[in-house]
Amino acid sequence: MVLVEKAVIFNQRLLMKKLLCIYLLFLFAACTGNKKEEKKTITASPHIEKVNFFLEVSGSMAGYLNGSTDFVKTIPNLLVAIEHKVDSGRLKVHEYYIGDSVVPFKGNTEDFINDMSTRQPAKEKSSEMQNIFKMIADRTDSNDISMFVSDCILSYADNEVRANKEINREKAEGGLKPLITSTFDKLQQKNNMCASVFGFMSDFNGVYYTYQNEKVPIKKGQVIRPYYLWVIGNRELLKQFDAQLYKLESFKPDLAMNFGVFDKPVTDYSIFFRYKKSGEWETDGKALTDAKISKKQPAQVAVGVDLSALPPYAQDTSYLHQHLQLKTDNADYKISSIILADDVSKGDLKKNELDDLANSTHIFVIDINDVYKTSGELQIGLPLQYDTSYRKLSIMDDRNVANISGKTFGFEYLVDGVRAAYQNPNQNFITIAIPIKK
Amino acid sequence: MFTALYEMLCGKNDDPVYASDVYPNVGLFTLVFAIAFALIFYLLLGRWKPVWDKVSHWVITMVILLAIAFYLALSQSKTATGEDADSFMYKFAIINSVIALVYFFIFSVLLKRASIFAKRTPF
Amino acid sequence: MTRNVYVFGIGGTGARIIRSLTMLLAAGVKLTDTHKIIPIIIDVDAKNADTTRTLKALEAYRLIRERGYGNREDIKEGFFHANLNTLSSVTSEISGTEKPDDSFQLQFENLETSFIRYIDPKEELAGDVTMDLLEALYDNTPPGHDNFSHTELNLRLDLGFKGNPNIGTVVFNNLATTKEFQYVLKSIGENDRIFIISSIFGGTGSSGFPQLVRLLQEEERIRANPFGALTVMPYFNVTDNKKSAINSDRFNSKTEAALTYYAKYLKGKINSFYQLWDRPLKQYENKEGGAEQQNSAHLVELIGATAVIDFANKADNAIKPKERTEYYDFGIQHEDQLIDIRHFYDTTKNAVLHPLTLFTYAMKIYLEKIPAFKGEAFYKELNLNSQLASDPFYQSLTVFFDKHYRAWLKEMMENERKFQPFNVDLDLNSLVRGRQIEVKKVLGIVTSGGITDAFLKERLGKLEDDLKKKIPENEREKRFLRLLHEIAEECYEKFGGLPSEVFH
Repeated sequence: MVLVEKAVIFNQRLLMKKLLCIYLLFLFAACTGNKKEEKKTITASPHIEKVNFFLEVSGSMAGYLNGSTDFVKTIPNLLVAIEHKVDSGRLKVHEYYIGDSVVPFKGNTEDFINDMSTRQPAKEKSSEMQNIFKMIADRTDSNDISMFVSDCILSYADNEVRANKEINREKAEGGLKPLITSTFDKLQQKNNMCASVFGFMSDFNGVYYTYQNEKVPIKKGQVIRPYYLWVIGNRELLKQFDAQLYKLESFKPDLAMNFGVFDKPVTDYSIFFRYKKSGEWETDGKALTDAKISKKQPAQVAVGVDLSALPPYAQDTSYLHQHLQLKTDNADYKISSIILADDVSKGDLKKNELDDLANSTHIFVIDINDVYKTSGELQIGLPLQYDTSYRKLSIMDDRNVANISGKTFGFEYLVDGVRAAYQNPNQNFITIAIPIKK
Repeated sequence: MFTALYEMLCGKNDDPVYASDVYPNVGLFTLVFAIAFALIFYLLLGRWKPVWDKVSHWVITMVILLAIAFYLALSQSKTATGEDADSFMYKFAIINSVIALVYFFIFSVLLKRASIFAKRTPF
Repeated sequence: MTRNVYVFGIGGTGARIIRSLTMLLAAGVKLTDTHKIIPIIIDVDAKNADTTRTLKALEAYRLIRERGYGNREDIKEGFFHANLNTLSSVTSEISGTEKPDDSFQLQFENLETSFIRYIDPKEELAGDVTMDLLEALYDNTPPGHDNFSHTELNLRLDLGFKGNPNIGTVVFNNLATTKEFQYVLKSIGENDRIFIISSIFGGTGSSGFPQLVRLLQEEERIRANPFGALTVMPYFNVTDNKKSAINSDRFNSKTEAALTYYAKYLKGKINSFYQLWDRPLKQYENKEGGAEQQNSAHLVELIGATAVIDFANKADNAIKPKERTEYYDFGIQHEDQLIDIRHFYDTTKNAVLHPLTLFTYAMKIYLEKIPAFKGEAFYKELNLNSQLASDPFYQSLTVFFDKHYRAWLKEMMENERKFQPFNVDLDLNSLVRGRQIEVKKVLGIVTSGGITDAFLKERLGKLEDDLKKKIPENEREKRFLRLLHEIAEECYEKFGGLPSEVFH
C-alpha cells in the first residue's frame, strides 16, 4: 500500500518534469516559427489599379479602321489579351476615344471592340500630339497604366496650317518638341511616370493627310503605315506591365523603346550559392569569400541581375555577350553564358535561391580561372548606348505617297521630345563589382 | 562565435543562411537550454526535494536535452533553407547533440556544488 | 559557578541506575552549571554483569563524545553533550598521588579470597579468642547445610556480599586505604557535589552506603560539600532457590534493619535524601552474582537516574543544610500495569521524556533509515559509505543505539511493571505510545504522510547542507550528531508534542 502511494507521488513528479520539457519545446518552436514568417511579408509590391486605353480618332486614323487591316486584328486581340492574361486577368480596360477631347466609352471592352469595327469613330479634326499627351497625362492616376494608340503624326491645328502651310515643318523642332518634353516632365514628377512606345505596321485603307493638310487617298495594299502604342505609368508598374506584354504571344512590335524606365545603372546582383557552382568558394549573396581558385582549380559562379529597366535591345543576350566589358586586372575570368531567368527551371534551385531567381531577369555564368590578388573585385560593365533606329521611321516631307510607306511625319522630333524629358547622364547600363577574397 | 564553432565542426554550407541565421540561433538556443536544464536540475529541483536528483534522473534529463538539441538543429535547418532534411542537416543535428552534452556536463560540474540534493550527481 | 558532580553507584542497583543515567545523558538531558559528571561504580563483585554492562555503555558514551565534540567541554546541548567522564580525567594537576586507572570503576584489592582469609590473611587468628568471636558473629551455618563454604566466614568476597551487609561493612572499611579512594578525596573540589546510589535490600549497597559517607566526610574539606543520596527499596523479588544464599523473603527484614541504622548514623550527614520503591511485581532469576546477575532494566532505575539529575541541577541556595535533610520521593499520575509517557507529570515530561523521545527518533533513523539512504547527497557528503561500517565513532554509535539503548528500552518494556513509552518496532509515525502522527489522504492520494522516507530524505539533505556551512569538514562527527539531533527535533515537531491524558 505504501509502495503504491510512493509510486503515485513519484510518477506525479516525473510527469511534472516531462511537462516542463515539452512546454519549453513548444515555446521554442513557436519562437522560431514566427521568425521565418516575419521575413516573408516585407516584400509587398504596388499594384496596377486600372488600365486606360485611349484610341486616337482624328481623321487620319480612319484608314486603319477601314476593313480588315492588321490594325483591326491586332488592337482588339491586344485588349482582350490584356484583360485575360495580364495580372492574372484581374484588370479591366477602360476605353476612351481621344481627339480634341476625351470621350469615355460607355460599355465594356467587347462593346468597344464592336464599336470600333462597326461604327467609324475616326472623324475628328487633326490631332495635336502635345495636347493629346497632356489630356492623357491628366487622366492617368498615380497607379494607372495608360495605353494610347495613334499614328503619332505631329500637326498643328487646321486653321494654323491654313494660315501657314509650312507651319508643321517649321515648328516641329522648336515648338512641338519642347511642349512634348514639358508634358512628360510633369508626368515624371507626378509619380515617377515613364513611357514605353511600341511601333507596329499595318495596311491602310483611307485618306492620308500630308503635313500641309492635303488629302492623299490610299488604297489597301498600297502602303504600310506605322502606328504606335504608347504605354505610360509609374516606372515600377510600367516595368511589370511591359514584361507581361512581352509574354503575350500576339505581341510582336517592330519598334520598342523605353523612356525613363532606365534610370540608374544596374549595380545590384545576387550570387547563387549553389546553382551552377563549381570550385571552392563561399558566398553570402554579395561577395565571394574563401575563394580557393587557381589554374588547377577553376571555379564557376552564377550571378543573377535584374535588367528589366534596360531598353529591350540591351536585354538581348547576344547584345550583352557582344558589349559587356570585363576588367581583368584582379582575376582571370569570363562570362561563359547568359541565361534568361525565365528559362531556368525552378527545380534546379535550392529553396533559398528562388528569391534571387525571382528578382533576376538574367543570369551571368562566370568562369574564373585564377585570382591574382588576395582581395579584389570582378568588374562587369555595359556602356550606355542610345538606340537611334527610330530616326529611320521619321520623314519630314510626306507629300509623295511613294515615300511615306513605313514612315511617320516628324516622328524623330516627337521621340526626341520625350527623350529630352528623361535624359540621363549616366554612362553605363550595368556597373557591377563583385568583391572576391581568397 | 557560434558560427565559427559550427563551421569548424560541421563544415561550411553553401547556403549562406546557415552562417547568418541557423548557426547563431541554434547555437544560442542550445546553450540556453543546456543552462536552463542544468539550473532546473541542480538549483530548482535539487534544492527543493530529493525527487529528481539521482544519476539516473540526470541521465534522463540529459537525454531529453540531447533530443531537443537534435530537433532544434534539424528543424531550424529545414525552416531556414526551405529544403527537406538532408545528410548535412542530420550531421549538424547529431553534432549539436554532442555539443549540448558537453555544455550540460560543464554546467553540471559548475552548478552541482550549489545544489543540496544533487550535490553528488553525477559524481 | 560550574561544579563537578561525583556519582557513586554501589552494587548492582547502583550500576543499573548509572546505566539509566547514561541513557538519559546520551539523550541530551540538560545539567545546569555542571562541568563534569563523574560516575564511580563501586562493586566488589568484579564480574557482575550489570556492572560490566554499565561500564561498556559508559565507555561507548565517552568515545562518542570525544570523537563527536573533541575535547571541547563547552557544549551545552545535543545528544551526548554532558561531559560524562572518568575520575582520572579530572585535573591531572593533583600531585603526589598516583593517577588511578582510567576507569569508571573503583577496584577493591585482595578480594579473591574468602572472608576469613580477608580478615586474617596469615591465619594468625586460628585458635585465638577473636576467632571464637568471629565464629559467633558470622558462622551461620544452617542446620543440615551441605557445604561449609557457604557459611559467611567462608564466603568468597569477590562475588559480592550476597545480601549480607554484615560482611560488607567490614570490607568497605578498608576502602579508605586504596589509592583510588585517596585520589577521589583529593580531586573533589569546593563546589563539587556528591551523590551516592545504593539499594537498601542488597548486600553491597546497604553496607557500603553509610561507610562511604563516613569515609568521605572524614575529610574535613569535603564535609561541607552538598551530599545527595538515593536509596532504592525493594522493587523486585527473586525466585526461590535453596542453593542460593540470596533469599528475597529476607529483603524486607534487611530493609528494616538498614533503615534503623540509617536513621541513627546518617543523621545530619546528607542534604538531599531521595527514596524510591515500587511494589515488587516481577520475579527475577535467582542468581547469586557474577556474570549471571543481570537484571533487566526497570522503570524505577530510570526514575532513580532522574534523582541524580534533579540533585545536580538544584541551585546552590535550594539545597537544604545537612541538619535539615530534605527528603524526596517520586510520583506518577496514575498507577497501571503498563506505564507510558502519559502517566508522568509535566516536569518529568519536559526534562526527561522529551529528550528521550528525540533520542528514540534518532535511534530509529540512525539504525533503520540512514543506512538505506545510501544514494542521497548528504550521505555521500558525510562520507558515510566508508565510515559507517569501519570508523570507531560510528561503530560506537551503532553499538550504543542498538545494544545499549534499544536493549534498555526493551528490558523496561518487558519488565513488571512495564514501561513502554515507545513502540520501538513500529514505524516512525507510531513511535510514541499515546499519540500517532496522522496520515492525511484526499481521494486516496496521500497529502500528508507524516514522517516518511521522502520527508526524511528532504530534511536530512537540507539540514546537512545548512550545517555544513557552520561546522567544518574536519568535524564531521560533530556535524553528524547535530544532524541527528535536528532531524529528531523536526520529527518531534511533526509529532506535535508529548501526549497527555486526564486521569480520574
